[in-house]
Amino acid sequence: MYSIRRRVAVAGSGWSKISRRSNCTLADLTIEACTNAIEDAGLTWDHVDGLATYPSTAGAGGSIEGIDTLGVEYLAQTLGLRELKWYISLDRGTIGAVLAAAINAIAVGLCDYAVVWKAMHTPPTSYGLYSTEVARGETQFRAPYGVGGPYNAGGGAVAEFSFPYSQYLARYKRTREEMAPYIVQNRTNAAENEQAVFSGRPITISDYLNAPLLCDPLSLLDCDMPVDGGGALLLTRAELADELPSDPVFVEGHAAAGIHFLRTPVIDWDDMAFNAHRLGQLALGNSQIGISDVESLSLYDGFSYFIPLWLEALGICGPGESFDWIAAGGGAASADLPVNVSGGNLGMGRLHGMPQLIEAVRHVQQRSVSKTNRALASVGSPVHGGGVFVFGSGG
Amino acid sequence: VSGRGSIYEFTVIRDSRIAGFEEATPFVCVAVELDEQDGLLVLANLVHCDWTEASVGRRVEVSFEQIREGFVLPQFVLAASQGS
Repeated sequence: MYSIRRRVAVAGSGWSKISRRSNCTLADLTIEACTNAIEDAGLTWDHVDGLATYPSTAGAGGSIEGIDTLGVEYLAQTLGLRELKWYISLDRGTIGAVLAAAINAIAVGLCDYAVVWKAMHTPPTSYGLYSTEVARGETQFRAPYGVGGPYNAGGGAVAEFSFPYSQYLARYKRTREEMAPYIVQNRTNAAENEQAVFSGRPITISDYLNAPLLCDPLSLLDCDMPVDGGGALLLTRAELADELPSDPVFVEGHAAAGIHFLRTPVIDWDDMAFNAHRLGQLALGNSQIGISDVESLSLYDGFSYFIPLWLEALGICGPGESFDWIAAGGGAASADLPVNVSGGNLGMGRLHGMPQLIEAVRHVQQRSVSKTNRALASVGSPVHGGGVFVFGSGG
Repeated sequence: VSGRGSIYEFTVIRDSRIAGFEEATPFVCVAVELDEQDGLLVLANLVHCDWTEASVGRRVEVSFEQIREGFVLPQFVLAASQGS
């Protein structure tokens, strides 16, 4: 039976500068991140023949190419990438779906060196404003009640994503205050990470508990902060990676098929948990390993409660037991199974799935605080195109 | 459908980004699971009660609220009887 396991390698990774507001354009940040990933692999732009991105900046508004949004065509034109053989740019999904497509394209030989990137620009305006007085389509079932959604011009993701957390807390008789130890641990990790937007800025339990609520049970500190910046990976085939000076990391397995199965305008906890579990099972199955073989976790945390969501979906913790696990020291940078040691999105900023992907790759390259041989990264909301990736070392 | 159900999930919106709701905060949005079918969720506001009264599992029933002339929205109110 054909298996994609270990046919594709991540040979490089790179960040642009990450900041709350940048003076650089989205194009500058994109090129900086991609160039860093290419050079990290010991390559140049001349080698690049595949491009993949998820260009959405999540309802930040504007449509000027290179400033508000940046697709593969813009980059290929700007840099004159005439050797390009393959590309993908998905408007819906996540960077996970795009990365999965790039892995597959490399595996079947459509291109040799693919850059996969996600860059964000959040202009200084009110994020997620919904100003129209007319609601059409799916929006008509949300907007009249004061709820936006991630896929309309109005954003409103905080309101929409607050619903499932209320179900989680009620079902397992937990409280939002029990999240505090995780947030403090996470911000301690981010404080140590020079690239993080919250570098050098740890917080206390009371900082978390006193943060303003936006949409109960989510407060400001349960949401990742919009930033300007980008991250990139350089993918190549395993045999080509062996010729490069960098330490390659192999894609053991992946799955990117997060679907909102519920035909309602509401996100349901069970739908999220089902999808997260399914994505984990698929990726581990493709990797031919079990969750106990994974040595580090880089979990997508656009909202704080995605951490217990993934921990429980992956079988690390029983249903409703994540807060106990964390309170007992689970997931700490020094623990057997570290979680988001570079700070995740909550600590690094809203960079979609790149903090998780780059962290997992660097774990396996033995370049991070936690050195592991097999790392799992989850990317995106499990009902909005999310994915799970397992990376393994060369040995 | 009967218009009766239970609060399945909810949120209290304190920072609205939607035009017309700026002065309404805090207000409660509920995903109501209707009695007729498991998983049949309807989104609306919980009205005519304090926002602190919302909780998962509470019984609610529909109330057709006139928002302005010619504009009626199905909303939910706490049910008189909290038994199922």
